[in-house]
This record gives sequence, structure tokens and C-alpha cells, in this order.
Amino acid sequence: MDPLLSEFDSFVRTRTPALLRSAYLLTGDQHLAEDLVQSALARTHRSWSRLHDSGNAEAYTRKIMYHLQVSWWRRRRVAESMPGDVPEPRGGDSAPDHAQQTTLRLTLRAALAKLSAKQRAVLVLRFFEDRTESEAADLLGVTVGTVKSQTSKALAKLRTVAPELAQLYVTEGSAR
Amino acid sequence: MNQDRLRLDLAGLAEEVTPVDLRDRALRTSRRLGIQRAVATSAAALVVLAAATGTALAIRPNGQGPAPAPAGPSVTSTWPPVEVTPTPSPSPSDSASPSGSPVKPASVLTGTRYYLEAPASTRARIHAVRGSSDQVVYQIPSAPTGCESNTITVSPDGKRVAWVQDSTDGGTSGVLLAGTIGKPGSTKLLEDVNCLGARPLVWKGGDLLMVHKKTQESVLFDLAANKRVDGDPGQETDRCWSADGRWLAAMGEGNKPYVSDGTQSRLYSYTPPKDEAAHWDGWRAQSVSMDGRYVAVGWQPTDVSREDGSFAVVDTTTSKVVNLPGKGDIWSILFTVDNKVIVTRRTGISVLDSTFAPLGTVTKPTTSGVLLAYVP
Repeated sequence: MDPLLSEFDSFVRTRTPALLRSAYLLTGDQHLAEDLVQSALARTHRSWSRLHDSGNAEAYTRKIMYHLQVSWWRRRRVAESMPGDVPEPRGGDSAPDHAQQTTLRLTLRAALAKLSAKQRAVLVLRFFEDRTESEAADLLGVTVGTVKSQTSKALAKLRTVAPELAQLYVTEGSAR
Repeated sequence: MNQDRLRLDLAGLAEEVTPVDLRDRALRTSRRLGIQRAVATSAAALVVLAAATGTALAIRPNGQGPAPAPAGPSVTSTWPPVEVTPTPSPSPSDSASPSGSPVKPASVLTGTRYYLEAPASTRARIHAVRGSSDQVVYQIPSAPTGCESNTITVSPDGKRVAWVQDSTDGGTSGVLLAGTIGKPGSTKLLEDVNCLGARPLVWKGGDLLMVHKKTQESVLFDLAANKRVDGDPGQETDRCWSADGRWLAAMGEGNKPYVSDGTQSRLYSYTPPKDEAAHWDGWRAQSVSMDGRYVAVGWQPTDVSREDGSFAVVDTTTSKVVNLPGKGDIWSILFTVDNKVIVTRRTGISVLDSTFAPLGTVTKPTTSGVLLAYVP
């Protein structure tokens, strides 16, 4: 087998699960997440001859993924196809059980669907991938100021569209 | 909000995805992308050949000779054969005002409108529409979703065309090229220029073009002199200029919108419709009137679509929204150098005077998509 292709295969198989996790948070849908990662990997493959020994292949792929997602959102209005209804929260017990965790997750997913693509992207980069503001800005091709303002707007919107979620987070946070 | 808890819940949510092997799908898509690029390259080779054999013909819509090309040392031959599209017969709507009172066509729009043709598979074509004449005056080999399609722009004086040629970094940046409307060839101006975003290239008059480098640095480039004339002129963002480049509309510190002609500045305010605003990343001025009094505002798109998105006009002296005549969703609003306002809707194009009184309507050519410029 072509050594370059072999390297690419190895890259795809080891990094796809992690890429899919980010893509799932960005799109809120298994199939859209697969499409997103597939498209980003295809572009990585086109540039593999210069990427394979640079050590930047994953960063490159992620950058493509974030840009494609922001682009697709507008064109296909992915957000409108995502489940946007925030489920009723389960109240009561201060120690959340499994069902409660599931509800919380559904609530979070629905709340994320209410954000714009760029707002979701900054949240995923900052709070899932733990990127710095500067790294997030570089990946999205925007300024650090934009990352700051979009993060602030995204968190504010989460609080608005899912107040029960915010309340839980605040309550738990203040209890610590 | 407790951000640690948010981190935890995001991680939990991400675990819902089912891992799949995307290797074969990625390779198939890669092959398809390769074929698309090859087709575009072949088209470019063909048009160069056509130009060499003399079949290319520059046609100026007004019958004048070609305007001067931008200065510059490196010239790439990408001149495609120019085709003349069938001349549409005048539509009845060309001579009717919205109110139904007859208006002579000459009094509505006497100048030339430059349109980017709706995306094609391998070429981007710029049409010059003047009266009932519709001519293709420039063509660029281009993928329908590439850098080129997102950046092609015509200067407010209708003399220059500029775009970003896709590089190999996945359609996020490339080389800034410029050419002369109605004349073969293009000039390579600047590398590593961003091609994403709603308005990656913004004109300041007929010669100056604001671009963004990959480093996020804003660069004002003089196409006539083929050199940078300034770095980032300030911390303000979302800039656009009136057609003559005199009045600037921008967001200043603290996201405060203002207009300025360099000697006087005016802050104004605008609050977009709340429900709609929830779907967008904010708003921005998209066009400025020649006296700097009015700005057309539109949503801040999150991607590379060529939609203008303008939907309202704000009087910067009062911060009030102007009532525009006509009905239907507005697609774009353009203030022209001869103090007219071109309002494009799904239903057609209305032309207003400087007081926003209707002058009449014109028909949008069937082949044309985005309105790039209007030159009286």
C-alpha cells in the first residue's frame, strides 16, 4: 500500500472518534456529524502530502470542520432541523440520578440548537476542547475579541433558552 | 454559569455519538473534490487557449475602451472568452412605478448594473446590464463553493474586479487577484488573504480594497499602485464605505455604530427585531449613502453565502428606521453614487430617490444573482 495512504488511514482511524465527538456537539445529529467529519477528512486527504509529517493534520482537520460547519449552517439551516424543544426538567432530588442526567443532556442539546453556528463553535472550542481564546480565534479565523463576545452571547443565550439548566449550574456552582 | 459543570455536560453529550469508520467515505469525497478541481483547471486552460487564438473579445457595455488595468508585476492569464448573452426584451415593469404611474425607463436607472451570475459549475461570470442590454464582461474559472465564488467583487466605479483565488488550505484563504472589467488578464496582488465571511473584500472608492489576512490583520490595498497603503486603520470592525469612499460606517469601541467622513463623526443606535436577531450573529451596516446620513443595515451572516441580508435603512441623525415604500422581504439595499437607492426584493427591484420616494422598478436579469455594483 502507498505509505502516504497508509499514514492517512491510520490518522483517520485514530482521530475520527474524537473528531466525531466535536462534530456531534456542533451539529447535534449523528448523520450531520458524520458528514461534517467526512468532508473535513476529504480535504485533509487532498493536502496530506504536505500535512503528513507536519504534525498539524488534526489541527488542520478541525479548522476545516469548524469553517464548514459555520458555512453549512447558513446554507442548510441545520439549526432549524435540530430538535429545538427544551424538555421539561425533572425537579426535586439534589443528587441527580441517571434519568435526570439524561434529561439534562437533552436540555443542553436542545439549548445548543438554539445558538448560532458560531456561538456553538466557540462553546465547543472553549468548554469541550478547552482551547484558549487565542486558539479558538485562530481556528475560527476571527479575532480574540469576537471569541470573547460570542462566548458571552452564547452563555447568555443558554441562560435564556434553558433557565432551568442555568439555575442548576449556578446552584451547583455556588454549593461548591 | 458553572463552567466546570458545563464542561462535564458537554463531554457527556459528546459521548452520545456512535463512532463509525469514515475512511472510505472520506477518500470518495476527496476523489470527487479532485475531479471538480481538475474540471476547473481544464476550463482555465481552455479559456487561456481561446484567448491566445484570438477568440476572446472584450466588450464594454457602454462601447468605451477598457479601463486601465491595475499596475503590478505578475500577470496571470485567466481571460476567458466573453460571451454575449441574449438581450432580453424590455419588460413592462421596466417602465412602471410601484404605484402604477408610467415612468420613462431612462429616468429609473440609466447606468450599468454589474451582477455575479448565479453559481455555475466551473466559471463565475460578471454581467453588465444597461437598459435592455446584458453582456458578460468578465469570467473567472471558479468552483461554485470556492473562495472565488465568495469573494468576486466589482469596484463602485465599475472598472475593476477583484477576488481571492482558492489555495489548497480547504477554501479558507488564497491569493488576491484583480483585473479590469472588459479586459483580459489579472494581477496577483497579495497572498494569504481570507476568503471566508460575509464580506471578505470591501471597497473604499474605486481603487482601495480592504482585505483580511490569515493573521486577522486588516489591510487596505491600493489596486492602482499595487501596494498596501495602510495597515489596520483602527480597532473598529465591520467597515463599509459610501460609493465614493468618503463616508465610513463601522462599529467602534464597545460595539457602538458610527459614521464618519474623517472630519466629522456621528454615533447612532439601532436595535434589530428581537425574534429575528436570535438567529444571527448581530447586524452591520452594508451600504452608506453619499452624504453619510443613511446606512442600510443587514444581518451579520455566519458563513460564505453571498446574501447581502440588508433589510432596513437607518437615519444616523435620528437613529430612526426609514419607512421604505414597497412590500415583500428585502434582499439587498444599495446606495448609489448618483444618490439613488436600489432595493432588491424577491418580487423585483425598486429604485428610490434620495428621499426614498419611488422612481420605478427594473427587472432582474434571469441569469444574474448578486448585484455587485451600479455605475451611473
